[in-house]
Amino acid sequence: MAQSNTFDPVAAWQQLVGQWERQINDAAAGFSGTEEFAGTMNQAAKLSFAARKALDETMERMAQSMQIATHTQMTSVLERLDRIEEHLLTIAAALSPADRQAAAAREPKRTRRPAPDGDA
Amino acid sequence: MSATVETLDPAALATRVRTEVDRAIKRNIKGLDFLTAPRARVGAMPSDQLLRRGTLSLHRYRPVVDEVYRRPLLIVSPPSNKGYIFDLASGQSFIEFMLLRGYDIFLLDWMPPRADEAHLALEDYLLDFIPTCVAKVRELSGEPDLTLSGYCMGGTLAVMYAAIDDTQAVANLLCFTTPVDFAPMRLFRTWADAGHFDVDRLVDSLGNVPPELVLGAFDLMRPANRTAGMLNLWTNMWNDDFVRSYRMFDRWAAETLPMPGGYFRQLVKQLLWDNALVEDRMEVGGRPVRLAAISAPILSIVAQHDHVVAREAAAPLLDRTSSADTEEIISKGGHVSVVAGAGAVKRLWPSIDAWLGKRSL
Repeated sequence: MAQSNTFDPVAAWQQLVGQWERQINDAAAGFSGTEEFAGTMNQAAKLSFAARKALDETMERMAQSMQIATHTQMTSVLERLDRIEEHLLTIAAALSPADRQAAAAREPKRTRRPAPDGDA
Repeated sequence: MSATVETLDPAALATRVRTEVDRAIKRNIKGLDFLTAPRARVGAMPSDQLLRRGTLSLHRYRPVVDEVYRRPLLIVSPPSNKGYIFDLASGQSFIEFMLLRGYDIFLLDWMPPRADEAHLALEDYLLDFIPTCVAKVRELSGEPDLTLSGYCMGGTLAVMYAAIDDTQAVANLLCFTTPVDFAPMRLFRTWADAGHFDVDRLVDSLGNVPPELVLGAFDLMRPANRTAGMLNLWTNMWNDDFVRSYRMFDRWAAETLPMPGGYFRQLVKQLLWDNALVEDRMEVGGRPVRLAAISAPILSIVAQHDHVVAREAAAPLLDRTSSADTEEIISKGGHVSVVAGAGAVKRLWPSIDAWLGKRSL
């Protein structure tokens, strides 16, 4: 009884945070759901992507002039490695009949039925 | 008067002060641990990779019981997220729970699409990736049919596949927060309005759509969530379970995947702009995708506080298909916690098992 009525600062803090979160989110939903906001946001996104593209291109040129690998080249190498890994996995799977036999031996029976109350 | 006396109860006050001082010390010590810790470990259950082709990755979880249900369960992840949300950690893993309840589980997961996969589109997902995985599951299990499941857009893909599947392989549909009607997704529709959102220009210039775009949209929907989450983390820093769970969810969100540009373009044009699936105008590879063509039993799970997929967005699953066996579960929680939160563990998963067990014979 005494404990339940004792002021709990942590619970009060969490309640405050929860209220603040709800209020901000509700206010933002009203504001960001307008056509004006969407238009401005898309314009900003367009500019941001254009700037990013320009920066990427500049960095690529700089990397090329310094004779070091560019981001595109590194990505390309990673993707090639990725493909090689895929092929290795396929080959390994094809070459491991022992694993397949072991897996087959572990196959469970497919005869399970739910418990009468539906909660197995 | 008595309440005032209880409020000032010295014993209770002393206990409270001791607890808070203890927690404050732990917050500082564990806070340092948090800042210096490597990324959270995820994945509780062992699995084998069965297929890997570009972005496609099919896994089978190793059964943990000797006797499983006849029908296997194939889960489709949303192309923008990793599938380990279903298998975060022991005790917080839908996969673990269902394996223990006797299901044979396969997961269709996605790797980040490569630059040369930016062209991938719904046709690839619905006429190649999912049918390939369904065929593999049928081959391995030796069973002609299965339960197809999906979360968020993974659910939408599962639904669309069920609508065009001419092999009769889909015996049940298990949908987690699956949008079918995009009209109620007002914020997304406003932001992606054709009047000011040039999806062609975006995709043509970027190829794959970066995850920052998706994460930015989610942050914009609930701008206070991230800060409030950090404040709650600090408050609960003394609680190892809370911190562990926070870090796993945080890692999952941070590992949002890029989306193939072709797929994103169709998502915006056909689903957000045209709402073609629910309006019966959807076509994939020249084939009509009609909800009415689905007759399999459907369990639709929606979250009470889902700010991404509202209940109305998933509602057509219950009344626009030809299925005579549909059920909806409204679960407490939000868009993500509905899959792996504490409420899901205690209430939702047992309900799913009760529904699916009878339909997996």
